[in-house]
Amino acid sequence: MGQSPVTNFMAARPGSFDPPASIRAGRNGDRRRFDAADPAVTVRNLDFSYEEAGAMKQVLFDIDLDIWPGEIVLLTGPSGCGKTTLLSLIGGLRTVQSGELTVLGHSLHGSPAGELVEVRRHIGFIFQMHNLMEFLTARQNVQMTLQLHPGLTRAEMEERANQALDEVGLGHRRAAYPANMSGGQKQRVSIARALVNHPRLVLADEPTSALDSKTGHEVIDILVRLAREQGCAILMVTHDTRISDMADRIIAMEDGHIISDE
Amino acid sequence: MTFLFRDLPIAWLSLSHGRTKLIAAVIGVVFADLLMWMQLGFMTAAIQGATFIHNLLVGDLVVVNPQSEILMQAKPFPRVYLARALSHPDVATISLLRVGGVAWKNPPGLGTASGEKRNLTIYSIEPHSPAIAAPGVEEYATQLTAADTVLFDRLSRPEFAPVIAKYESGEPVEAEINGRQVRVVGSTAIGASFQVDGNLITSDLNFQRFTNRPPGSADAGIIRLRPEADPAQVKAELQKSLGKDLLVLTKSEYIARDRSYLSRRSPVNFIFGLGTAVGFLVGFAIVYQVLFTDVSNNLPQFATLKAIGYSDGYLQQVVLQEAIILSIFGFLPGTILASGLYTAARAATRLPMSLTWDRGLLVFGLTVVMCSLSGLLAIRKLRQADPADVF
Repeated sequence: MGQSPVTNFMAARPGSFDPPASIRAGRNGDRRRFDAADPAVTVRNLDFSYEEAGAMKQVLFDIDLDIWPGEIVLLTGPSGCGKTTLLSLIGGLRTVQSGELTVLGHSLHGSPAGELVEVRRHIGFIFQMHNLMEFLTARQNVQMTLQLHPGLTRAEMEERANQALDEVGLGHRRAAYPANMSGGQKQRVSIARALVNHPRLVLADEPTSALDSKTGHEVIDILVRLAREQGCAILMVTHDTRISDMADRIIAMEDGHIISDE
Repeated sequence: MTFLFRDLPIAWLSLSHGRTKLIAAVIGVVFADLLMWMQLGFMTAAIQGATFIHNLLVGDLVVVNPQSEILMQAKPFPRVYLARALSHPDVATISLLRVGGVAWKNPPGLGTASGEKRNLTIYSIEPHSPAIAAPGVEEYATQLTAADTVLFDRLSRPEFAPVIAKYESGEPVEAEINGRQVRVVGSTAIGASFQVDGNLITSDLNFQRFTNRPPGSADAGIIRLRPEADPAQVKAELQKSLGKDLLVLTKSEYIARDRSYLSRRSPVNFIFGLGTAVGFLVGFAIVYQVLFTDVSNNLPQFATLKAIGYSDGYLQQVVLQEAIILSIFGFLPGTILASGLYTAARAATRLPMSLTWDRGLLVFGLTVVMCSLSGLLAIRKLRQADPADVF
């Protein structure tokens, strides 16, 4: 992925974003409003089962879902409802068994493992437990994402990683190791790591669950602000109802079904 | 490899972040390398030590009984057989060599081995035409014509040092060989080995007195050629004229033949080969343990790297790089320590121990293989890093 599509994409995105209703309207009617006209994620008739003690246990039933570029979507529901499974399928981390799943223009059903890896390189991941490399500094952790894409020199990567850390307010902690950072700081590093490549899709799994509510709110603020600036879509699994006001859409799941999408 | 300077050196950063882990692994490799250096050094010394004397032979060609497998246990042949060789126009001289073992009774009052009977190897030369060019032989050759005289090897094992010291201080040294009173008239330098504690050189007549071996036989004929002669051609011609009862070899062929016998027939290779293998396995186990623990502890992080788009191949490379780094970090101090131990072993045993480039390459090669195998085994653990588990 070169830098130019990202730049164009960002240029086309205003800082504030249209509400989801108008997006869906736009999809059916006035498509000119969206230059990146295709959805970032399309899910159709998706089923998924785990094999458990020799028997198949179905956890997702007939999921239909679109996520549009720039949308911030929360995925909620009780634990075990299948939301994390859905997230990992969209992230190309599990193999699609039946149904259709298109992510950033790649159809994932039947894709070879190599293509899944390629798709993952264009997604930003944020994990419940930051999952930073303990032996790398904040800046080096961010650099790990940049390295996945050819074309940048070492110096350019370091500069962009520093910028990304500045943007999450950690310019002063570039050389710190995760062991010496607070939970909020680590989660901000992982936001910088996920966003430094300007992905068009970010998948986040309960990014605030390990943080106190104030810190969690700050972290989400930063994530949402940066995503809006970059025009990047977010699909976030969360229990945290206090951040629902920042979302464009909230999808609720129960027992493997989508029960509401508003 | 184009990533080499662009990408972060993950393997190094991971290893160097955990100091104790790095030190433990390096100590393991150092220990393994030290063991391999020593065992391989002893292996070579054992074989080289047995052919010290070969290198000191004065001629270009060596004639032996074909049934004779090694000089130390040579089968003698009648010296008249060699008469035909003398008529070859390119043959300058033929010197005869005989080898035997004798019971040497150390003079009393001389160090730890005082009054002890020890087996020494004794070489017989013809004083007018010595087959051995060891130091002192030419100088003392005429004195060896006197009855019951010997040259003593000053490179014999350290417990014989007082004998040499006494001789060098100018005092007469008298000892017993097979019950006969003998006098040390000079010193020479040959070298001890695993099989031999020390060496003596004497004249052919004295040799008969000490060993009761019949006159008229030889263990080896050492042929010196005229300067312009072609050794390979003369060798072929002599072999033809001497027939099947004798075997004609060039000096280097002769050395190779005896070394090959030792490699095949003595337990030296097996014993020290086993020691080397133990070193290899110890190093393998330690490095594997360290790399495996490293991979296990970082499994969520490795899974994360896979999730964000790194391939299995990349992660495997990282583990292998860690293995290579460990082999380099262990090899260098291991070699420095080995050099110290070689010096100590040389002093204590008089064995020819020296760090050689080819052995260095072998030890380094074994180290890299050892670490890489550990790495490859540890990599299997990486398969458990399932990117689907990161959420």
